[in-house]
Amino acid sequence: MPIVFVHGVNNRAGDEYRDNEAGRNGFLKAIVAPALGLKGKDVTIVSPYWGGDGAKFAWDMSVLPDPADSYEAFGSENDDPLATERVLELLAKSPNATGDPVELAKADFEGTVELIYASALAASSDQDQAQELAASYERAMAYATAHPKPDWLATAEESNFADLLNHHVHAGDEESFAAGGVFDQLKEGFSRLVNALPAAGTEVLGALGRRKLNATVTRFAGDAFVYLSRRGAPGSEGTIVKLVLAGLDEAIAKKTAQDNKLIVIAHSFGGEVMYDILTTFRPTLQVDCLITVGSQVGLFEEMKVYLASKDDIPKHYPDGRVPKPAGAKRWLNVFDMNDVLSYRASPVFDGVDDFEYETGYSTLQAHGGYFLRPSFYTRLAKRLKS
Amino acid sequence: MTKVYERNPLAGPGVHVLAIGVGDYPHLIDGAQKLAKMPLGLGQLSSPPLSLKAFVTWCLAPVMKAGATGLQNDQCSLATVEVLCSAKGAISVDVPGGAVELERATRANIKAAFTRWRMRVCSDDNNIGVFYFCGHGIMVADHYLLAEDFGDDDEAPWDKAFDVSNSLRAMERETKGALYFLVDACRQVSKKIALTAGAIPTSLMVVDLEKAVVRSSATLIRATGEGKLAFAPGGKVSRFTDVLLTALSGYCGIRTSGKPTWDVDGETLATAVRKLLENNNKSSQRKQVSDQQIGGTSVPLLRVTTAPMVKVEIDLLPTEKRAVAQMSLTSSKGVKFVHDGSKGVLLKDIPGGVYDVSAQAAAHEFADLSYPEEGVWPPVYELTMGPAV
Repeated sequence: MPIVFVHGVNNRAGDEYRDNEAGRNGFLKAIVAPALGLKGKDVTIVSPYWGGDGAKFAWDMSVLPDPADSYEAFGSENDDPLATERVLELLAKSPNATGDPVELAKADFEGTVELIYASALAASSDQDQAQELAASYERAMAYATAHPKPDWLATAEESNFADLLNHHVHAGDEESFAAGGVFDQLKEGFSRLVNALPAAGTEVLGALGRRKLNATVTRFAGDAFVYLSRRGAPGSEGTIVKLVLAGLDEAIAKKTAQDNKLIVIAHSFGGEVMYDILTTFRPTLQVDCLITVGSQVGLFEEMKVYLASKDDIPKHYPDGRVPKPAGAKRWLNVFDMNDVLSYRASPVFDGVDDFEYETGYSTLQAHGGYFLRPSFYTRLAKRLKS
Repeated sequence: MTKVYERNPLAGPGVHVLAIGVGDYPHLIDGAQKLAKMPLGLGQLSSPPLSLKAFVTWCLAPVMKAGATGLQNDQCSLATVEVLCSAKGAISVDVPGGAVELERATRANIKAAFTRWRMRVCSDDNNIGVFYFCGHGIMVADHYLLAEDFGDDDEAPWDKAFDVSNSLRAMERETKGALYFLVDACRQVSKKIALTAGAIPTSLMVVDLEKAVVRSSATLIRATGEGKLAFAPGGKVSRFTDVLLTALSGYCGIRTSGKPTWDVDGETLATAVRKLLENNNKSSQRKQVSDQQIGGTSVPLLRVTTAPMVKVEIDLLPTEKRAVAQMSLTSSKGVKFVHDGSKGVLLKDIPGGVYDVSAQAAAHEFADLSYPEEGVWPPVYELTMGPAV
């Protein structure tokens, strides 16, 4: 089951891109692959990178009101500020978040466990570590479901909460003469949460949001314009289309008799790229499951900007929808109500299943938040299994 | 003080053993007393008391019963054994005078026992000191081992741990004899300790750098590599101690020149332990590879009178071929071991040596397979025969 991940706008090679890829691949291998009856190590994940051919800003976005919003400000070499920023965003949409994570756990143990693992994933920069974290996450959620109010929680303190959680989640493991495994990741994730909680709901987040939003929207529009104007036509494909096609071909070449399925996950504008490929650039391409996440595929068809768009559909609004691309055997479209850049697809297309996933991130971060939440992978695995 | 054995007469070179096992940590998770402020994710252990008991039982076996497999060395026989153990309940070991209940392995008791052991080891230049520990361990700049009372003082969280790396360095400057440090503990790097200033665990004795290293030989075998974990099946002897005792019980040794005896020195033992652990890894999801540091001259810990054996495992693939094969090993002396492939993989313990390994099909279903002059040496020999090999 080769998986192709087609990224969306706002992706540029750098530490953040690499960290996101490592964490995402780790969770796809540990959680999604087993749901499909495969071992993580046997799964090929191809992630064609086209960000280098996205919008380039001749003056480095100096037209923004706050020049500090330049792209480089996001690609920090130190991942801790980025991770902390993500956790802050996460907490912005957690209504029960208080200044004390142990109290939070007493009120909602399962939700707090999810937050801790998400906080740990926010700083994940190594695929093997992410895979280990993912495996631990599944056990932690099973533990939290079975023990919504564990005894040890009554006396737990901030200083030993992660220790106790890790110990009890892994109680059935072979005895080891140290904590091992994901303990350090959990400890750091918890510590990040502790540090972020006091700032949740304060002006810190508001300031952060205003600073980032302008740059995010600017790059989104830039990448979209560049793609639409330079995507080319069949036989003379633009660079972005060529790069994604090459990734798809690489994955197809790795299919085997036993492992002959192709799954494509297209995030954000990657959905539009994939739709153009399936309808125009490579209509013969067979995709067993297309998963568009936080995408605008439906919106762009409403605007009739695809090469395959036909102005006569719908003939009489709201009757009539566009058929699902012939090569996509199954199509899942995931959106989050908080993600202002995500859209439903089923009102426009036939044969697509929309499902809502609440990333738990604020409006600002939700668009990139799907792959930062461990539960996204378990939900995805469940859907794919069905 | 729990000196469970003392040779009579004590005078002359001897092996002095200090063995410590810690499974009960009252201040760690699920412990009986107040939980430490920073428990480092650590809880109670069931294996160390059992591992310790197995190790001490092996040491004492020849004095409990003449000729039994255990710590044997006609040049340097077992002189003393002191043991500390922390377990949920009282724990005892069988010694020549009956069962002895063991003192608990608190930091203070470990320090006192170490001092006594040091004095005994230093009492003769040809002595051998054996230090064995099984329990929780962590790593930062050096390897730290946790005593029973670890975590009892939140204001001095690392007070009840000790630095085994520098304890060995200190001993190397004290004794002219040989040292064997066998450490069955994890070596995972603790960021928590690394980020705590001024609270580093101390060694059981300071390293006086003005003194020269005088020990004749030092062997440090650790259960696992830096940053890695050491494992134990719940309620059983740990993986490391299990293979250590296997190696010491007739699965390693080098023939003493001109004598019908076999010596087990640090290098021989370390190699055997590593190979046996690797062999166990085949059936374990979580791998464990030991780490060793050997210095000085070769001073055998054991001198045994029986040739070491080899755990032989020979397979033939595909399995359909194995089912019709007769597999055999023939030694250079002409001794032949034959195995019917229909019974599965060939698993046998045989004396080490050079062997011709072969497989023949009963009704010529496949061409004969031959592997002449294979070196079959302790502790393990593995071969998978087959056309593609």
